Amino acid sequence: MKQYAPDRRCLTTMRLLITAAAIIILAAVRYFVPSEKIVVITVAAVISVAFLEMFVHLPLYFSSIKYIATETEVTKSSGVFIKVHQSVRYSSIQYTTFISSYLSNYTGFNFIIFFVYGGQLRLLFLKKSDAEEIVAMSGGVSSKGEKYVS
Amino acid sequence: MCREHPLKILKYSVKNIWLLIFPLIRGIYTYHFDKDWFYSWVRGAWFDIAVLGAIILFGFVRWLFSRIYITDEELIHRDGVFLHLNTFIPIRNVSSVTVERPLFMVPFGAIRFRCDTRAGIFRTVDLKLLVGKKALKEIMQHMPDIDEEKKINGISQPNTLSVLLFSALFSSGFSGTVYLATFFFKGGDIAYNIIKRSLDLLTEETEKITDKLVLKIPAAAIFIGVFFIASWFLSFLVNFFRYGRFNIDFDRNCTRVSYGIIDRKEYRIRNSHINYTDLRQNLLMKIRGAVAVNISCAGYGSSKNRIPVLLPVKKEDNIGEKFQTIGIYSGKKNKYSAQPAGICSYLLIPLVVAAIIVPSYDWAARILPRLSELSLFLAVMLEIPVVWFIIVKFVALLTSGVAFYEDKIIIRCSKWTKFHTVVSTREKVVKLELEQNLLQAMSGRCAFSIWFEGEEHTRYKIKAMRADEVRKIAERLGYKIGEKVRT
Repeated sequence: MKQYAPDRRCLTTMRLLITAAAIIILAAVRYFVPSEKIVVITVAAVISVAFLEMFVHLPLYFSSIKYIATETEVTKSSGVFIKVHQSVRYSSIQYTTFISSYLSNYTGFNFIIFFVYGGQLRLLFLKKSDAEEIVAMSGGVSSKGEKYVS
Repeated sequence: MCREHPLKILKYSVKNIWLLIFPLIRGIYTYHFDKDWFYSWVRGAWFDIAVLGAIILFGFVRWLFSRIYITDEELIHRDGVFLHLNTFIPIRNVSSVTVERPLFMVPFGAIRFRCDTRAGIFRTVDLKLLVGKKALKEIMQHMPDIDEEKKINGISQPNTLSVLLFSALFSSGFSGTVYLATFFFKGGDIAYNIIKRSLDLLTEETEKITDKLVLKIPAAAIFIGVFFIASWFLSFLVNFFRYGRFNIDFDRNCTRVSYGIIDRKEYRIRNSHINYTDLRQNLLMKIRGAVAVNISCAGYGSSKNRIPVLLPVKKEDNIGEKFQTIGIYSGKKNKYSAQPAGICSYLLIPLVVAAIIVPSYDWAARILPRLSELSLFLAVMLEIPVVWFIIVKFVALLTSGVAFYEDKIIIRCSKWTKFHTVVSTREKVVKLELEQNLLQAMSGRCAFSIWFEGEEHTRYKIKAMRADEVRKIAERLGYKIGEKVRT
């Protein structure tokens, strides 16, 4: 049995993305909305939401995510307000999708989706090495196929 | 490694079609604010061309990054420019593959390929590709296929008459369409007579005005009637061209089905992944001993407006034992049957509805005497399907039940006006339900429902079963239900 946690670098990436999105929204509002009053209200609302998301919700969410891989199954636990535990047997996995990007070593943007009978299990924000290890443990990808996990 | 067909560039480009909003804005701007808008528009046409170029370039780059790898063990699809989506489908998990050659793609040599596993819900397709002949050949070499040496020979193939009958019976409900058309033809005629007679009582002046209006009523009725017949006929033609030249071959492991007069479709189905076979009949087919066989298998018949048909209309006696290889069993008697004493659970509601329709005509005639003729016609027309439904449900009562044969379970039941004989292996049963109300508890009967594996969870319900027999069925399937139920 091995326990995995999400890559903390992804939190920084997410904060940078939220900051960029907030700036774009604020600039658009400033440019298109003529009423000063509405602009002030929107700026306050956007900054508050972004702040809460970046420094309250996301850290709590990231600390709540936990993946446990055993020899037969993988379990995901997550949720800030409502805890959700999902478990999937490797034998029920029909196929696997592995999502990564060019800088995923640094951004932590590595995702695995296990497609099983009647649904799917998404393992999000993994370290690249952890993601490769879980994929290998699941047996959903053959040794020949593993070279494409990059 | 292979790539998708270059025609896919167009499909990828379509996803960026929203970029055309910029040329559109420019067009509107020049139209409104410039007198010589056409000249201005042409002068700035380079911008439109650049946007179109960018759209196609994005499509090209997406296509360039879409790559297919095939090994002995899995099919791998790499997609995405910035985010890389690597999909690994183990070949052992492939339930069905679909190869489609639409007519308009033939000159380009492009072929649609779909691959499905048992994962997911609601008929989702796991992998869709547009490939050329060479790539398809390479992929299909690794997909499940019939072993020509072990192929079961001497299967009676569905003939043209079989496909014609199937197209007629399963095109938007043949009997329903004929019924609706009659309803509007005859009903419109009666309504016309009534209204005309009423208006004749009025003065000559008003008659002149209203005569023109009256003429429109039967015309509308005829139009609606013709519309139903025409839409059914269109649906019939589409189905006939879709399922024509039907061909089926199989061995113990795989089934190959191909059909289509113009657009050919070929399916390869892994037999062990067939969830269940469903022998469907309506009352006419039941009387004539004919069936249409559908199957539930991930990917088969899952496209829009497709029926997962494995055998179009065929005489049940002519199916033969060879089809048992793919789970089509016929002629097996029920071991546990619906109880005739439970006739009320089948016939109570249709009988009540039939009984209400007769006096309702009389009530309508008293309230609106002038429309008594029309209300009589309406009552007769409503009574016909209800009587039909009563006959269907009575036949269902006599034929519903459960049978076991080797490792198979056979369920006979009815849904609305259709009869189903569902055959599956016992391991594929995923849920059982025993329902008993107070009256049923007193007589030791119950309703029994069963669900099988599959992307769509369909319920098959048999009413008026003996509760102790349902418990025996559950035990044979490895379940324990209804321990506290009165038997």
